Formats: sequence, C-alpha cells, structure tokens
Amino acid sequence: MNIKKIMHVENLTHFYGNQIGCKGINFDLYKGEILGIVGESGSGKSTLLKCLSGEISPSAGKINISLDQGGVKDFLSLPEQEKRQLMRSMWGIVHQNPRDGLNLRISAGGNIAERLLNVSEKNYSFLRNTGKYWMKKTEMDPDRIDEFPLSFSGGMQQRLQISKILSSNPQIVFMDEPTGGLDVSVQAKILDTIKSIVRDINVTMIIVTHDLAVVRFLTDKLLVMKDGIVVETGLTDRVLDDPQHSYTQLLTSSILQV
Amino acid sequence: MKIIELKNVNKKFILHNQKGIVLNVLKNINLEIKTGECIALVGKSGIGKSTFLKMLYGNYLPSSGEINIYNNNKINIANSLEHQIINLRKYFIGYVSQFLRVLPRVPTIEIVSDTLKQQSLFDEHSLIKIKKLLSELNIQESMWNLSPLTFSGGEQQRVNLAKTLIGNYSILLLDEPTASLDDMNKSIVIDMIKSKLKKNVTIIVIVHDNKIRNEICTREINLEKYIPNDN
Repeated sequence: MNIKKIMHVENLTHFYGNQIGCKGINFDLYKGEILGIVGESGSGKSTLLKCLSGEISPSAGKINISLDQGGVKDFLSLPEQEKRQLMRSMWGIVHQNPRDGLNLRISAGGNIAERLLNVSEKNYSFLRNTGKYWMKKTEMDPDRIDEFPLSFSGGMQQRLQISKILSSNPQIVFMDEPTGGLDVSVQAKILDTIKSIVRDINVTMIIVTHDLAVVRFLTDKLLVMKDGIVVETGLTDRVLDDPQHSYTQLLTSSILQV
Repeated sequence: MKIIELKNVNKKFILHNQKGIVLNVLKNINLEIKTGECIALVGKSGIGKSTFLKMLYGNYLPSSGEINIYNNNKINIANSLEHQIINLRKYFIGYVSQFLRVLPRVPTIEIVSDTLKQQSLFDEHSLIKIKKLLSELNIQESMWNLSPLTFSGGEQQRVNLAKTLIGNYSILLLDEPTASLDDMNKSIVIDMIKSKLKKNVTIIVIVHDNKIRNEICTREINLEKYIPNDN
C-alpha cells in the first residue's frame, strides 16, 4: 500500500513582532488523512492553520505540496497569483463562523455554484443539480436552494458552508472550529455528516479545534500545541488515551464528565 | 505461521501531573501468536490485560520494544506512520472495547453498516446480513433505528460486538466480550466466536469465566510473568 504524501511541513515558524505565533512545526500529511490540531487559545493553532492555508506568510520554514497535477511544489515560494489560484480551486477553508465563508447576498445554490464557477464550470443546470446534490448530502432540504443564507439557522449555515467547500472537490480542506458556534444538539449531526462525506470522497483535511470530542470522532492523527510549539503528535486515539507529554495529560484529564 | 510477535516489549506510565509517579506495568514481553490461535489473557485484575490488548491495537504506546503484525508485510505497530496503523485497523485488526463509544444520535443499524462501508464490503446484500446478525444477538427490530447510547449495558455490548463481528478481520481483540451478558446471550456470542475461529481468524480475548475459556481458547498467556520486579 503506497499512499501519496501531499503536504510536507518543515520547521514552520511565525512571529508576530517578537511574539511567537508558532515555532519549529514539522509534519507530513498523506492523501485521505484527517489531521487535528488541538491546544488552548493562544497556543498557536490558528496561526499554524493560517500559515498552512496561505492566509499569512510564515517568518520561516518550508511547505512542500504535491497535488494531483504538477508534482511537488514549494508552496511558500510560488508566485502570489499561482498561490491565489491554488487556494481558490484546490484548497477549501471552512470558517468557524459560516457567515465568514458564505456570500450572504446570493442564494444557497449561488453559494455552492460560486466555487465551481472559479474552476470554470458554466453549465447552469449542472451547477443547479450539483447545488441540490450537495444540499441533500449535507442533509439540507434541496427545495430551499433559492433561499438566502440568512434565512437558515446557524447549523444549516454551517452545512451550507461545508457544501460550498466540498462541492468543488478540493484536495485539502482546512476547518477552523467547524462546530464551534453550534448548539450541542446539532454538533453531533454535523460531525456525523462530515465523517460520512469524508469517507465517500477521500478528502484530506486539517481541523483546528479545542474540542477533544471533535478530534476523537473526526481525525486520524493529532498535533497537540502549547506556547507555539508541538508538544506531542501521533494517532488520535493513542494521544488521547495514552498521552505521553505532561501538557497532553493535563488536557485529557481536564475533560468534564457529563 | 506467526501473525503477531512481541519483542522486548515494556510498558510503563509516567504521570507527569501527579508528582511524576512511574507505574511499571509490563516488562520484557517476548512472544509469538500464530494464525488461527485463540489466546486467553489471564492474570489478576489490574495486571495489565487491557493494556496489553490496547498495545496490540496501537491505542497504547509501548515504552520500548516492537509489536510486529504480519499482514502481507511486517508492520511494527509501535513505530509506524499513522495511516499505516489506520489501514491495518480498517482491514486487518478488529477491537471490541469494554464499553461502546459512538457518536450520539447515530442509529444502531448505521453504526454496524459503517464497518462494512469502511472495508468497502457494503453491497445490496449487506443490510440483510446486518439485520440477521442483530437479530441473532437479540437486538430487537424496533431498536435498529435508535442510537444505542440509550440501551442497557448488555445491549450496548452486543451492538459493540455486532459492529466488529460484521467485518472481515484477520485478528480480533476482545476485551471481556461476555461480561455484561446473560447466559443465553453469552452462549450466542461464544458460538459466533467459534465460527470466526473456523474461518481461521486469530483471536485474543480477555475473559474471566473459566468455562468459556476452556471452550474456545487454544492457549493461555499469563501476564504474571511479565510483572516488573521493582513494583
């Protein structure tokens, strides 16, 4: 069995002035893997995600990417235009607040179609059918395709954002606290939806969250961050059930039992 | 043919936040398990039977040593890339924990189907097969579309078993599979384990009931001899 390595991160470091954002991050990501990044607020997990997804340029380090076309590329030294194009078509970013990822002035269907238009898909009925297909897949009512995002509940907006990102078949999806602002009653269903879609389309994903229940159910492997560095890494259930580092032990023993 | 091999395996826990206490649990394990064996792990409570099983699944990390699983090639589960272990768990090693752990609100029948979907074995006959298995395990039809999280302990254990037994694994790790079952359900589960053994599945099981052990197991591994002296 030979699975392709699609991202190689080496010594990735970002400073905000003198302040460490993240420091000396190393990991490999293979096709179809789901990586979780956990840590308390201020641990550098969001900074790391932003460096990886191209939202900020890190101070130092290397990100090699190897997508379906084009061989291995040094992401950080790509021309700005090529980077933008890559982020638009092959990256997908799911924001914590769905309103940051959705265009509120266009319909649900329009939101899903928007990314497909970016990869120059222009056939109207194809776009509409894809919209309906993805609404169904994320357990939304496809008859509401012409409604605007603001008429949906928070959980529905998050489903719409996930539809929008996944419909264009991205090679890497970045999620920042995907269930963060949601009611616990909708969290589990969204997690289940994400999980079943992930299995169907074999997408590669990086999820940042402080919620250990989310990483347990969604991710394959884990980076545990504290003060900008990775203190422990490994198979998700191994890290959670047999934590080796003192901070991971503190984190896993602090979960409240309901 | 050997399917599992442990070489110089040691396991200790270091509790950093409790004054750095070191618990030496198992020491110097060297052993081999052959395809088709049914091994009973024995030893008094707290000796490390579940720890042993969890190390074989990659859920616990040995402090040193190798745990080699022989698939087509050799994989040291104590030192492999995550996706290699995940792949092994998907197709090769099944594990039934003592307690069921599933997402809330997901129906029982979907939880069992999921194993077949992961193994890419789900087809038009699968639902019939799943329903048959659930019925054999005495999970009533009216419960199939409910989440098992509201079920009784024994029912949850049977769903947990169904979830793994439906799959096509070469190795099964079973942590007290009959602990909360009544006699009738116990003998049903024992028959299922026997039929897995007939298919040459290798089983490692923690079971306290001597009678069951004698009925299904081909060998015992007593963990007493792996207790570190310094404890």
